[in-house]
Amino acid sequence: MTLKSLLSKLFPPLHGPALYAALAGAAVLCVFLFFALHALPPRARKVAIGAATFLAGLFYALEWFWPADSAGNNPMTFAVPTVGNVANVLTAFTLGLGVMSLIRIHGNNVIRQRASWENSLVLLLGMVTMAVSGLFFDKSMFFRSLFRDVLNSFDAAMFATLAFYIISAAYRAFRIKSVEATLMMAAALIVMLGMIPLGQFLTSSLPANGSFTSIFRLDNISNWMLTNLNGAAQRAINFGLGIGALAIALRVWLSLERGAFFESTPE
Amino acid sequence: MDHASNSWPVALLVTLWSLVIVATVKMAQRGRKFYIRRIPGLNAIDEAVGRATEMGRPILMVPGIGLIGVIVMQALSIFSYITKTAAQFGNRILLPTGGDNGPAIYTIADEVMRDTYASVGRAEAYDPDSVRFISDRQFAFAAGVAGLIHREKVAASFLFGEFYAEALIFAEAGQAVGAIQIAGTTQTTQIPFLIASCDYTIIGDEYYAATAYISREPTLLGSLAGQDIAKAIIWLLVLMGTIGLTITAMNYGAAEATKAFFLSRWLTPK
Repeated sequence: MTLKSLLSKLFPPLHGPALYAALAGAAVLCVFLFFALHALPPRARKVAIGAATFLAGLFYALEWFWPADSAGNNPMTFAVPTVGNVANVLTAFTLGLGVMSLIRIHGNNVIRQRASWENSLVLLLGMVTMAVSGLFFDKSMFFRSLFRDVLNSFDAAMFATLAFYIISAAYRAFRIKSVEATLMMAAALIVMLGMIPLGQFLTSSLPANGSFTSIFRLDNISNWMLTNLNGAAQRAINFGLGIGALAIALRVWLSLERGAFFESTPE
Repeated sequence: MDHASNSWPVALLVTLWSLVIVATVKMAQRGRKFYIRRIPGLNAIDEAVGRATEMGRPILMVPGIGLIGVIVMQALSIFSYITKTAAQFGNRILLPTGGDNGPAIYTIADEVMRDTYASVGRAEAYDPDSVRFISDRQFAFAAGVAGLIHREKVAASFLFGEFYAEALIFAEAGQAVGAIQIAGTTQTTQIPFLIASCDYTIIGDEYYAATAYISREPTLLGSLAGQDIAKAIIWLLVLMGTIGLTITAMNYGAAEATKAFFLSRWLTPK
């Protein structure tokens, strides 16, 4: 008997009242676990958290190392979406806390009439309007208009401001004040010239490829700088990041850090 | 689904790196000392906090819009250190969260900051409004944080985490109010923007070295030494690959190899 069939027998698909009863049971179990975890002494709580972290990490490690069949599956692959859903459910629980934070901060601004309290009022009204229309009138033109015409337009407007920010950042970065800034300026100038028609026109009399002189074409130099210099540097950075992520994941998974994650002093 | 059996060399390397890292951590925990080089961006953290204290203006810390994972945890760990220093000097802190996992990051950050204030004996100084959820939408979050920077006129801004297009909005808003800015991200596409706009930028795996550098905790220093050995293994493999490919190219004749080297391979668009 495979693990999948065993779990299917233990937890068969439910329908109707049985499904609702199971959901209610799960909710009660969650509440019980929540209070049980809170009631535990700190040391025992750390052991429980460490054990849960280890088991979750072990699942993914085993799933990856276990040889897969020709279809790309092993005996644990079927459970990957379910385990992922557990993480999603835990994250979803926190949405209410985030909304409470917004209401508390902006509600206080409005009640105490702090500076710019009008903005907080608009935010709260906007949030309520969007939530009510999305929950109860999601097929209406009003909701679609709010989402498509208002929210998306605001997003696009904010994204468009990046164009101006890029110019001001580039202006500061390209002021020649050191050797590094000079190199950056020269590299940026070549890449920009290689990308725009005017720059490409400057060296268009040289052959595109197949000749020694083709290496002096601005578009070829620009392409080489992007794919070879920049690409190699980015790959080197990504190697370091990958190893760093592996190290921190191992420390958390195996509880190698003494004390809690954010405690600097060992217990 | 990706598995080790699809690429056994990768699985062997991951196992080898893991063993090296765990071994160096254990060595450090048993008292072995490891050297760590100077990272200017991390040295500047205390300077930025000090400047905010002198100016009497708040400190902003943004953990990015990534999913809950090692990157966010590392960002909060760095913020915990900054907050510890800020709490001792009575600085105000601001920690806005956003993105798809914004609410989850908010709950964790709130706990971390509360614990940090308590750890320096200033639990009563913690303002619950200092950690706040802004929006799950990227540009709504960007607009909210930019507004916060302008209204509060922050003196120091710390951008650590996973950033995308909003990174430049935060950094330029900080520039506009004259804040000292220190940034670190794992997103290589955003590094040029942060270098252009921030006073100090932590690049690549320096991001993961930050907690070790700040705390000098043996476990973290051991882990950092393990990372360096793992990188040396990569370096050796790259070197072996380069030599192997060069020898292969040379088998086709020096003239052909040189032509391939300078023209077809490097400068000629495919």
